[in-house]
Amino acid sequence: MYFLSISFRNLWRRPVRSCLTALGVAMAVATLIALVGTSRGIERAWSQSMSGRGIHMLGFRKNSVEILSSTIDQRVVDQISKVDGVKAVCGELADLVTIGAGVIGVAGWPADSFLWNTLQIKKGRLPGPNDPNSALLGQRLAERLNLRVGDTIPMLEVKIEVIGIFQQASALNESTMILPLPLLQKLLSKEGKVTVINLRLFHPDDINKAAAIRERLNELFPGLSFLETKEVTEANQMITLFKKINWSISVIALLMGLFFILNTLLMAVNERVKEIGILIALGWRKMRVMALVMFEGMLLAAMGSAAGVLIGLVGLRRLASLKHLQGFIDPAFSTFFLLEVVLAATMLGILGTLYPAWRTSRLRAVDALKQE
Amino acid sequence: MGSSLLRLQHVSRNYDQGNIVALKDITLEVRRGEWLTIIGPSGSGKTTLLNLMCGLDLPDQGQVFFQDHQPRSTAEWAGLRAHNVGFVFQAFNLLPTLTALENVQIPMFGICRSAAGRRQRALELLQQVDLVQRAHHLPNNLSGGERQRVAIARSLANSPPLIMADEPTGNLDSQSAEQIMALLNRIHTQDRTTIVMVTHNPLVARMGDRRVNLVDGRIAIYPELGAADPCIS
Repeated sequence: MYFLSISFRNLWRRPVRSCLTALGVAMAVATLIALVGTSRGIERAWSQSMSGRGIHMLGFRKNSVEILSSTIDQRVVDQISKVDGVKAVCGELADLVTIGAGVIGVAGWPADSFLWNTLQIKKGRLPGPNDPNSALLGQRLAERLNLRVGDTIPMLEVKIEVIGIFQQASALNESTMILPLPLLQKLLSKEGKVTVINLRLFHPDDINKAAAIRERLNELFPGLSFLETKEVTEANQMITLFKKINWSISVIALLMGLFFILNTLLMAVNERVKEIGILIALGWRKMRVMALVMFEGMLLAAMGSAAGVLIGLVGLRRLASLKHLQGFIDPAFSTFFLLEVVLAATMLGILGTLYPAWRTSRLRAVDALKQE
Repeated sequence: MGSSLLRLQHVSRNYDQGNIVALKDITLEVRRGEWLTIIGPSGSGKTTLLNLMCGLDLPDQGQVFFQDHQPRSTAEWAGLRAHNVGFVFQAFNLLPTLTALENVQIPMFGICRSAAGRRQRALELLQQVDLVQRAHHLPNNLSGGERQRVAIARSLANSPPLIMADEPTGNLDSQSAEQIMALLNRIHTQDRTTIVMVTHNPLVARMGDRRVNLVDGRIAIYPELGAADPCIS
């Protein structure tokens, strides 16, 4: 018989209570995975979206709370293209619109934009000068809306024809509808405006040169902010706020899990006062008895976190497939993230056992043995 | 008789801030290899004395020496008990979630590090008390006599020089009580294991080399074996 077997038997003595406690921990862990995973999925989708388009720097209106709320005069694009070190510039109008019951991302690109070349056309073609009311759909979006090349989409009293379906590495891009810039400007009543300015640099890997260009751009255009793509996600206030909210809810869920363990172990210790007295009488040191109680808590946390990881992964995939969120979350998990969750659950188990274990250490064998 | 195994010098124990005197100025020696029987009526302080003798409780006054060493803390006593003292309780005190085999292994944790070693030793001990066939039964599925035999096997787990038995036949029928006393006697005579037994049963009290009669927390009679004992007669 192993030491751990004794802890396991003690938990199994009250299977319903132990299972419910483990379930409580599982829900806490699942909440952590689902919420933090969602935040990270959004970050990842944003990051992949920009890297998939070969963008090195992004410009948007200074002090915008959220990038989509940025509005820039389109004429700035030409001025930026003349700055030394800038290889190519593209003003992009972007927004979220509802089509049917779902929310989709829309982007407007000028006809001469380098961004068109980043699309891998699976069906149909790129828009030409004779396609003023045309659109390209990402493959995921086309599947979600069940649209094919040649179909039309009614949008703000204009019928837009789907002329192509494209693929891209980023889930966010694949869930986007791309229209010619003038059409989207007209549809959104934002003539002459763009949301962001996408820049390609001649030497993107030269950190010093990139920083110098960024500094120069910030000087020349004081109303705009220029960030390298890796900084954009961190600068997005909406994502930051979303992350903070998710972390707060996760911490509350974890605390609830901690109290589940604490409560269960306290009850277990109170029920087994005499048995603890027997162990002490038989020569068990208090540290060993405390370890027994702590192992019980850690077993609960381990069982709960194993179930929680499964529930969380399934839950997050389900969340990512929801109509309103499709494409905005890329539910991919890193080993590091899962390790973080396991570590958090282990800490939960240890913290939840400290007080019951301390209570155990305070018991006097002679008093404990008198208990019935 | 052998050298001193356990020695109490002017030991007193009070409860309720001194209002209740459980033991008063007890001086007593247990010699290696002897069987000491502590008798006395209910409430006379027998169990308190037993608890003080093995450090489950600490005296308010006086000293307790184990092998001429005076343990100072409960932690020191715990280590000492693990290696040197086996317990047999009136209520058996087996852990209900563990089988007979597992209960016998409990005192071995921290002493015998290998799980296989613990299991082997526990099987040998159950063999000694003739309970191998019940090794995988939970205490609830054993009779009172069988439970006490498991408890005796458990008390022998670390081959202690001393066994403390607190009313070992108190919860048993006469036939089972006889078997338990025969078993304790065998352990005492075969291995020269020192036994300190508390009882208020006059028949059981006949066992042993010496008797201590405790009345109102004091040693009333301290007869050698065979001396007239009004309590027993």
